[in-house]
Amino acid sequence: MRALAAAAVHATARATMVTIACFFLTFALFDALPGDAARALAGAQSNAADLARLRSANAGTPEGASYTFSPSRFVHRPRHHAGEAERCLDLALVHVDLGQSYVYRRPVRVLLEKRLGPSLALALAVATSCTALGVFLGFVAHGRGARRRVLPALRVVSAVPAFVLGLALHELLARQLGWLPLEAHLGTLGESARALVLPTLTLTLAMLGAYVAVAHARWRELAASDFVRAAEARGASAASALWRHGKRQVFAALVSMACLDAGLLVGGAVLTERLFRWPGLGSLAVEALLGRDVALLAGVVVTASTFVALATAVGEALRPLFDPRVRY
Amino acid sequence: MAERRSPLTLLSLLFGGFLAACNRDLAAPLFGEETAAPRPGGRLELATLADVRSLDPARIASGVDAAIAVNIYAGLVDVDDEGRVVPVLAERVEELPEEARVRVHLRPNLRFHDGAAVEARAVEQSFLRLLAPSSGSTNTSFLSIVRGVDAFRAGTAEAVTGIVVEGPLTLRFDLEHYDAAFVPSLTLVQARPVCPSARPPSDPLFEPCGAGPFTLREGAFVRGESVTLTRFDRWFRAPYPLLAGVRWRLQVPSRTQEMLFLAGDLHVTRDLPSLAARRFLGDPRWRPLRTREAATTFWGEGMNTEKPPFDNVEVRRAVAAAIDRHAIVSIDPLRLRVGTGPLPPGAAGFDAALDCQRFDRAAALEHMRRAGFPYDPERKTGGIAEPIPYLVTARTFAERSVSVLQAQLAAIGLRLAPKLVSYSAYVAATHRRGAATMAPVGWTQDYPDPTNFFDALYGSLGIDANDATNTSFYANARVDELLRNAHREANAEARARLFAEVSRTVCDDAPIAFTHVPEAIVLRQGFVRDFSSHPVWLQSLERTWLAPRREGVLPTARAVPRTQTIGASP
Repeated sequence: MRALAAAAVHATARATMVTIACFFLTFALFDALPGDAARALAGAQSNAADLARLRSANAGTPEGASYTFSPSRFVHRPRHHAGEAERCLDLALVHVDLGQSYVYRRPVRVLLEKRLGPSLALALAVATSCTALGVFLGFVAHGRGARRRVLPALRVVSAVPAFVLGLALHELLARQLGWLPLEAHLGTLGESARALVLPTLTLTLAMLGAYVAVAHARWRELAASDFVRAAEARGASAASALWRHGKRQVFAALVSMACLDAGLLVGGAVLTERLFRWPGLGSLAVEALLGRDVALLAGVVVTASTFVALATAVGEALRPLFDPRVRY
Repeated sequence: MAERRSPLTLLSLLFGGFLAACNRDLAAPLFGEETAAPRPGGRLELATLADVRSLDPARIASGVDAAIAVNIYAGLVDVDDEGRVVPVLAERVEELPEEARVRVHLRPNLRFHDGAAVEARAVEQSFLRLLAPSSGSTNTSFLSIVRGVDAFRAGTAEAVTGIVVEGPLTLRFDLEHYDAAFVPSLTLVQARPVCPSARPPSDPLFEPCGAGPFTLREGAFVRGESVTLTRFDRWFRAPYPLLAGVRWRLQVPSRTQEMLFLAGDLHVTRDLPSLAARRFLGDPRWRPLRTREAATTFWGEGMNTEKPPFDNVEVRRAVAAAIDRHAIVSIDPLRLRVGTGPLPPGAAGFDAALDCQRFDRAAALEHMRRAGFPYDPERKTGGIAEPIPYLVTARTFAERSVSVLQAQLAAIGLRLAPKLVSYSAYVAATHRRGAATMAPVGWTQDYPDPTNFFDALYGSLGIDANDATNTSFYANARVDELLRNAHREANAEARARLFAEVSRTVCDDAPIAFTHVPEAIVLRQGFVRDFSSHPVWLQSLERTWLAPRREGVLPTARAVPRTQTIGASP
């Protein structure tokens, strides 16, 4: 129990450090980029007088931080000031003030809340399907004849950029066959589920090659292991002995990988989200970057990096479920 | 061997299927009843590539935002489909040049969407809301000429002395001096009155509310998804608008727009991918359904007149003469037209007879010789040895045309060194003094007056250390004087003469080598009637109506989810 607590503290500390590092690195890069928020907001045809007034009007307001980045603005406020409740995220004793989007004139927290659900749904769907299909196809590929078909075919599919795969699937499944909607509409649960299929399929196909390769290598190792041979010696067929005694270990290998990918997908599935109009955090990050919306970008970065760190920790925590040799 | 072919087979099938899908025959347009008379009802389905950032007139900067907002907010005056300034909420507008005044007489019995009367006091309050020091408005420069605006902006006055309410329906603007561009500038979306109940621009709880032909109901604007407008029943030009509603789907990629359009779920599209646009326009069934759009944007090659070698006017003239515009336009002939002058054909003040810049390589070589850089095209010797940095924005037309431009300028001894940059880097560099030497430059008409182009691009007032609109940093005292006079001149013919001289001077001094005019490809379904493009606001929707769809004309037999329509759907 003590070891588990120590591991949890360790994972939390690591997640916090990763999040903070991502936060500062992003803003170092953001600051190095040319242009400013006022120009992005007012447009390329705005004149100097209007831009000066716009900058002056926003100086000292929550959006004013868009011009001069100040990370201390976002973290650890002892209590809310008037009107800040909507902007702040309460985490036990800590208030994280995510500020207000300069471009959208809305609290960043509100914008993030609307996008986080779809992003998480997509990430979980992709991670789950990659893991399940990876374990299964890795097992199939282990068969003598199938190896030469499955693995090269998956390598080819994985080599195709996700947006090309997406375009092809969109054309085939949505336009030609009419099985799936042309665009994401998150209405009822059924509509949302149908809309989730195309982005999930696209990302799964793009990422599946790596999962199958890892699973296949693991299946091969396990096939040569003593306990599988012992099962075979007791009369089980080679395939059933391998599946029955090896699947948890292969799952263990892929779950860690899937958790990391899920964390990355929360804020990083930009092209796929845009292609299918999936309202996730990735497309919001692009809008923030194009609009030089520093508060919104900060919110997306903090959220995405938190989920990467969190997903890694979850992956670590789940390992004992699949691999009894791992203990905390 | 058969096993080894499997990945290749899969790859071939994948791409073969994709190409076959792309090249299949287009679906037929969806037509409406031929004999149908204009009828109310139905919801028009539109789409945009971009998201809507704001629908507050004070905060609007992008073309998409403005194109939607103008349906919610009616102006005192507006631009009609022919590009003329016409009264809308105003019954008439009196210009009094001698007194430097503009008097606006409002129409009686007009209502805002919140039910309040459209009266002079409400209009005045709307201007004060726009000008308030804390408003963070994106464009208020057009009001700088009104007396007392500076004091109000500075917070030293509670009202603008130059905006005077003379009566319930009469508003007067007292100007510092008469300016013929003032009334056209009132067509800007920023100048449109908002409801008296509207919150300040800085308030996140602001809800769009104006006096336009359509209203935005609560919850009808979902960021990143859609904006749905509903007909305003008390719009004064009854029976218009005929549509019960209009919906813009936001952030729809061009490929998805094509699919939705073919399925009949999108009624009008202006963002088709180039390949698809070519197929549509090559199909005789679709060709008549293209809506021509007045071109109000021009593009050219901007040369920094403060930096060598373009501080030498002969080098600029050489560039202007060396560019074969037809070769550039041939890169995308469906969307581009040759542009040789400082105003695009759809802009106010365009002079078709103006002989501005033309391709003449011999003349270009002569200009290079006069500049002190003679070039021998046979031996390929001479010219300017130092490569000229040329900024190219990624994923724009300039990226595609740069090699053509390079070859054309190399033929007169100028070597371009293209530098690929992001859009924000391009904007930052071109607007900063001394940063960029040469870069593409374009301008889109904001309001129908030539000063909109000339002041910004060729006037000294457009020069600034960091935020220049005159990105060539071109300063000419004579041009400044002509523009000053054009602002103060009330006589249209006299103004036209002044603008003609500005145009000739700019053509000759060539701070910009004008190259092309983009032309959008706007396609509509056959049942969309009286849909017209607008010279500023993309489209006019007030008179648009949807005819009942003709029975049996469907794009395909497959099941495609249909959008819900309001009222008497087509």
